[in-house]
Amino acid sequence: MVFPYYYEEVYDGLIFIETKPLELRKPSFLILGLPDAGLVGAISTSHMVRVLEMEEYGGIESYRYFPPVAVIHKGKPHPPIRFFYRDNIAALVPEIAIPPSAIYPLALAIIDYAQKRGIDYIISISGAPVPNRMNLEKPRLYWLASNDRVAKLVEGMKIEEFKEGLLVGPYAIIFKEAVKRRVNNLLFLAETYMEFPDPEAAAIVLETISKLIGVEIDVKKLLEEAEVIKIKTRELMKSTTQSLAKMGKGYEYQMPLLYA
Amino acid sequence: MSFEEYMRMRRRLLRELLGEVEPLFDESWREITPMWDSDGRLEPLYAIREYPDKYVVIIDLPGADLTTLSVDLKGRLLIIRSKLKQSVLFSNWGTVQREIVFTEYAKTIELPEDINPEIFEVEHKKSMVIITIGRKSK
Repeated sequence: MVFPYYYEEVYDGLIFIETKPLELRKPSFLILGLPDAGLVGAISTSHMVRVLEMEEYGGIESYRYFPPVAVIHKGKPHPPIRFFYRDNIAALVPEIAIPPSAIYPLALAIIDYAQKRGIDYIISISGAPVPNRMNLEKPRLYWLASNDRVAKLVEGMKIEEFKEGLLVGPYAIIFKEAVKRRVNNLLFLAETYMEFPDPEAAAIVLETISKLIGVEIDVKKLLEEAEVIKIKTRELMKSTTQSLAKMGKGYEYQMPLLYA
Repeated sequence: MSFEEYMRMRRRLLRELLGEVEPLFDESWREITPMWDSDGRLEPLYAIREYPDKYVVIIDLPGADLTTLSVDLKGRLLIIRSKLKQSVLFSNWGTVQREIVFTEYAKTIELPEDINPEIFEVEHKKSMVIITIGRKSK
């Protein structure tokens, strides 16, 4: 009798599940789409999974930190955070807003998981909320690298480095921990709305990631379907905004005292 | 303390307690209320910005036909409605395993007590509708 592949590992109340062995070509990238301002990461990664026809291979479950949710797809349960892969890219796509109590353990567990799986680069996609987003024709994109090796990835790309400011949320913890553990983490921050889904900002991030990983990611469909995506993601945006408010996302509007 | 003073204090404390409890109840209620109804109406996302002299309500109406937009202020209630440019059909999703066709946005927002309805402006940028309502000076 042949049993289907199943592997799970528990990190501080978070269960990382693999239903297929993860085999990535080098250099390998783990792209994180955790929900944040404007759902920039969540919209980017879900579009990428769709256009690259990435294969689902597992996800993250937690009976301690997540609401008691079963994501049902084709009659089968899936974890609330799902993993997909193709060639040298793995992607993390959420189905739920991340509860504030899960931020620290989740951020640390993602770094542990990436290290154990030999991931070369963790790419974080975040939104930088700006009050005047609706007046911006094209939102700006910023990068932040955990070390010089990672910074080289964006050399020659016409995007600005995020030099001053506060970061709040899972990506802030992932970045700090990556610096401490010398893990390669590149954070992209696209100007966006705090409370509204922003497919245009997601498209700008994907154009840059496409150049970075050398894989064509067509964003035409994302922009064409922007209105429907905004309609479909209202609930996730609403629960994400509530979660962001509880974790103090508003601090990102604040200038650090030292530079004021 | 006289009996009247005691009753006034009691009423004030009850009002304060109610003021603290009501928003918590509203929040938990919103969390279990869907942002759509089976009559084809979608609830839009919105944000309220507070300034010393005004409130600004920003509502995102993706896919709306803004020529049909109506924004009314009745007392403290801001009532927004707009038809969609095209009906949106979702099938076999969520707890409703059947097709639902959405045709319009509808939302009623309760504004704070100190609004000044004499100042009332509506504009829009792309799918964003921006409503400015005056605020009474203290």
